Amino acid sequence: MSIISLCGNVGANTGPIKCDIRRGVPKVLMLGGASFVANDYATSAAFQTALLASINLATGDSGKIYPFPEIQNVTNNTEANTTGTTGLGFQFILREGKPAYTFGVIVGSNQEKQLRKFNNSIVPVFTFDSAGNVWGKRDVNGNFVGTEALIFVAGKPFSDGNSVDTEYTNVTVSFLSASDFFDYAAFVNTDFNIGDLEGLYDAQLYEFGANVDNVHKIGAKVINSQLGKDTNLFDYFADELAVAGLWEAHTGADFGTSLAITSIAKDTVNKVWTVTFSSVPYLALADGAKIRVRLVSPTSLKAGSVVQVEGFPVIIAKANTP
Amino acid sequence: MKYNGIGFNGQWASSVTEDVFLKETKHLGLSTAELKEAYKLIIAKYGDNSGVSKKSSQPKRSPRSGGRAKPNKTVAPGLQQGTDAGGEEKGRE
Repeated sequence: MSIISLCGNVGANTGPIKCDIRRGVPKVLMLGGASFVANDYATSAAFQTALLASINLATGDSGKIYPFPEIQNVTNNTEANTTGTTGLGFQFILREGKPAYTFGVIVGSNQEKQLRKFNNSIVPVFTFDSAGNVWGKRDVNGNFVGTEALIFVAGKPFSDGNSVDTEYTNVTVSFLSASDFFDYAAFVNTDFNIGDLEGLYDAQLYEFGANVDNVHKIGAKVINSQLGKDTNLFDYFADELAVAGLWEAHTGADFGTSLAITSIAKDTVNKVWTVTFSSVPYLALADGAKIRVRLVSPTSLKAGSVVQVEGFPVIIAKANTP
Repeated sequence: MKYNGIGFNGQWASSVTEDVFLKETKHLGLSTAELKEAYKLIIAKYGDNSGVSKKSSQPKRSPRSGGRAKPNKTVAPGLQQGTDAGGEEKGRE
């Protein structure tokens, strides 16, 4: 019998905590690099504010969060542990299987295209579950971050009329590390409704018709898979977007020079906006000079009551009216 | 700033004169009176940053007359050359 023992240094204390929380059923995935510091998760309310702010960040911001649609089906694809059994029947766990899931969501063609832009990306994942908890992990700095996973979105096929499986767009999430998933698991309790956790629409700006000197017509639309049926944001935000402070224009190399917009007016006939540039700097531009027109950040748009929208710029050309 | 449904860039408008503002906005379908009112409201909100100097309403002060003239300075002879405290010229052997 051994007289030397290291048993006291193995494992950890295992005292049960009453009413401790377990993972529920996943309801919404949220992908992105947001890192929530202690002040952000000090209270549920603070976290909810911080998370919603992350959703409203502009594309390109490393802290932006992209919510996925509500999960309607869960398949656990976690790889079984690799085991080995000795000749005399003793079983080793040689390698732990890494968590992996396929989540079925029910979405239209447009949203499916947006989801598939995440294919083969390794991104941090937050998971909102049926108990209102948002799961991720605690990093080395004590910040609350997503757990890294590989994403693949399989598009929905034609329905076959027989199996519900053909109704889903399937989102496969393969977590990179069992240790991160289990040993560094962390969560924040919220009282979110699923409807609170929706992503933004891509609002593509476009030029409508010909300009009259420094007066151009610009529209904003959400492109639709159904041809000829793009969603015109004039129908939703005609007045709200008729505010000069929500638009920006730039010229020059890398569009580094600001070009003042003097006014924005609704064009109710064509359902676009009349964008007027300051005439002196406009006329000073060479004919054909590129002007980038865009909306301000989603956060600023939201402050102006233009909600759930991120604008994408249009490049127009300066042209003097002959 | 919104006026009659049109979003004016208040910062830009406050940096130009009323004449420039009227010229740049005449295509928007508002009357001159409306545009002038819009400009007035913008200036009230943002201030007049057009940089156009205003004529002073204070009467100009007339130049001073009379009073004591400042005496002319005269330099004592010999002080232009470097001398020591005793007043003897240096360098003389």
